[in-house]
Amino acid sequence: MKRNVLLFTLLIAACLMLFVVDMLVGSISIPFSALFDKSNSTYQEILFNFRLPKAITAVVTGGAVSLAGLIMQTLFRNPLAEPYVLGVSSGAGLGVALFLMASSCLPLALTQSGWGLVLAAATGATVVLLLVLAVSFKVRHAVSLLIVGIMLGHIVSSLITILQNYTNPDALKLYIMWTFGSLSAVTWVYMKVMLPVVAAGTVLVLMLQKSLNGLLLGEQYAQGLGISILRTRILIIVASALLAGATTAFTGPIAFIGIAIPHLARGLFRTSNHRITIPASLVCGGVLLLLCDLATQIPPQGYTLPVNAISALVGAPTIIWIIFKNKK
Amino acid sequence: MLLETQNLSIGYGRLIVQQNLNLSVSAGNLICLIGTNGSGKSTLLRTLAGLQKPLKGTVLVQDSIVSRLSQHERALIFSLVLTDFINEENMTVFDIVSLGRFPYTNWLGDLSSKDREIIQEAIGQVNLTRKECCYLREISDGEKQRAIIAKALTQDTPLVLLDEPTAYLDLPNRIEIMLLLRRLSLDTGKTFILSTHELDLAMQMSDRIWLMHSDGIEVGIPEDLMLTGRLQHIFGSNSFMFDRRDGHFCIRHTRGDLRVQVFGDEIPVLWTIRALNRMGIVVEENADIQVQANSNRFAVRRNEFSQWQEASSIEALLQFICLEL
Repeated sequence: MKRNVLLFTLLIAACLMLFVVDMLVGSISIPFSALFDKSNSTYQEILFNFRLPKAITAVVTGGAVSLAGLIMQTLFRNPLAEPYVLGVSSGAGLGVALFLMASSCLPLALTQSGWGLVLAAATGATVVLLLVLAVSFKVRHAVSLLIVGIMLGHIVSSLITILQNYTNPDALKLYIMWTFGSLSAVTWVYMKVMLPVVAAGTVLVLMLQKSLNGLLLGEQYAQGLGISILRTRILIIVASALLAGATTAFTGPIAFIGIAIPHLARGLFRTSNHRITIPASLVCGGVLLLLCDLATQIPPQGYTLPVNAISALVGAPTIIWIIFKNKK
Repeated sequence: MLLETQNLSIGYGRLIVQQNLNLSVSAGNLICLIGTNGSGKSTLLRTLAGLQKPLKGTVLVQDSIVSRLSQHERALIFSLVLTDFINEENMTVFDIVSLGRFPYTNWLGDLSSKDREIIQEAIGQVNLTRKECCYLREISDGEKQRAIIAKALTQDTPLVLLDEPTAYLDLPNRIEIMLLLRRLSLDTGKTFILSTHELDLAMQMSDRIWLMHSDGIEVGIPEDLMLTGRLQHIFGSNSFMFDRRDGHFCIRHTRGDLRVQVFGDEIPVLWTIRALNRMGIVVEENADIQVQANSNRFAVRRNEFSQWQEASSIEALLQFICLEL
C-alpha cells in the first residue's frame, strides 16, 4: 500500500514538473518567472493561448488513450489490444477524412465549433469498434480477433486513400497534418469540446471499475460472478470510443501510447486491479505524452517533430519488451 | 430439493446433445459427472448454471426457474470453476479469491472486514494461506486450481459447479483436489457437481454419479452402477474392462497365443499377472505353462512334466517366457 502511495506521489509530481517544463520549453524559451509575471504580454500570449492548451492536451490525451487501451486489453483479454491496433483509430481517421474532405458542403457552425470533428471521429471510432465487437461474438480466439481488427484497419485505410484521390489539396493537407498527430492543434475552443467528452469517458470507466476486475478471469467467470456481459461489453466500447475518439479527433492518432502504458502501469504497480490501474494509466499516460511532446522540441531552430513519430519510438520498444518478458 | 431438472433438453441451436433429463440434487452432496467426450458434460453444467438456455424443459433451483433469474441472482446460487485459462500475471492468490465476493460488495468493490474474513477462511480451506500474496505466475497449476476453488467458496453459494477441475494436473494434485472437494462437501454442506474423466477417483469419492452416454444419463451411487454393469456397458470395450472386484479398469490386449497359469502368494501373483497382461499373455486356469510367484521366489515350467526354471525377478521371468517358450 505504502509503495503505491509513494509511486502515485512520484508520478503526480513528475507530471506537474513536466507540465511546467513543457510550458516553458519550445521554439521560444520562456523564463520560469514569466509564469507569474503579467507584464510581458508576448510571453502571456504564448503561455496561455498556446503552451497551456498544448500541455493540457498532452496530459489529457495521454491519459485518455492509455485508459482506452487498458479497458480494451481487459475486454479482449489480449495484451496487444488498443484503439490503434484494433482499427479504432483508423475508424476515427476515416471519420475525420470524410469530415475534412467533405467540409465544403457542411454548415459552417458545425465545422468551426469543433463538435463536427469530434462527432466524425467518434462516429468513425464507434463504427469500427462495433464491427470488431460483432466479430468478437463469433470469433472466440483473441488472435483471430486482432487479425480481423487489423484487416478492418487496412480496409479503412484504403477507403481513406481512395477519398484522398478525389479531394482538393487543401483538405488533403489538413488531413495529412492531422495524421502526423499534433498536440498544439487544440485551442481553447476545441478544449471545451474535448475535456467534457474525455471526462464523460473517464467517469464511465470509473463506474465500470468493478466489472472490469470481474472480466479479468474471462467472460464465463464474469457471468458466474453476476456480471451482465452484453451490457458491460457495450459500455466498455462506448467508453473507449469516447476516450479514443475525442482525443484522436483533435490530436490525430497517437501511436503506441494506448498499448504500452497499461503494461507499464500494471508492471509498475504490480497489480491488475483496475482500482489501481485506471488512475495509474491516466497519470503514466499523461507523463509519457508530456515527455514525448518535450522530445518533439529537440531539433533546434523552431522545427518540431510530429508527436506520432516520437510516441512510436517509445511505444514500440515497450511492446518488444513485453514479448520478451512473456517468453520467459 | 436443491436443484431439479424437468424434461430438460440441452444443446446448441438445432443440435440436441441430451434430452428428457430429470435430475435432482440435494444439499451436501458430491456429484461426479462422467461420460465420454462429447456426451454433453460441459453443456449440462453450463445449462444448470444458466450460462446457456435450455432447449426445452426447465432447471429449478430452490423452486425458482434458473433461466428467469437475473445474472446477479444466479451468482448467489451457483459458483463456477471452469476450464478457462487464466493468464493474469499480475493477480495474487488473494486477488483471485476476493473476486468471489463480487456479488456482495458495493459498486466500488470495497471489501468489508467480514468479506476479508471469508476470503482468509476460504484460502485456509484450500491450504494456500502461505501463498496468499503470491502472484499467479509464481504458483503451480494445482495451486492455481485450488485458488479458483477458493474463489468459488467465497462466493458462498449452495451449489458449486466444476468443469473438469482435475484436468491438466498430475496425479498427486488430482487426488488432492478430489479429496479437498470431498472434505469441503462434508464440512460446508455445499453441493459440488463436477465433471471429470477420473473414473477411479470418481468411483471412490462421489456420493452420486451421473453417468452420461449418447442416449441419456444413468444416475446412482458408484457401487450400484458398477454392480449392475452399467459402467462396463458404457465405457468398456473389447480392449479394456472394469475389474468388478475393486472398480479399477484393466486393459486387455492379447498378442500371440501364450497361455499361462499363475499361483503363489497373493501380492506377487497380482503383480505377475499385471506384467503378463501388459505383455499380451493370457492368464487363465489350467494353462500348460505354470508360473509360481512367491514373495522370495519366481519360477516357471513348460508343463507339469518339465523342470522348474528359477527367476530372480518378474523381469527375468518375463524374459524367460518370451525367449524360451
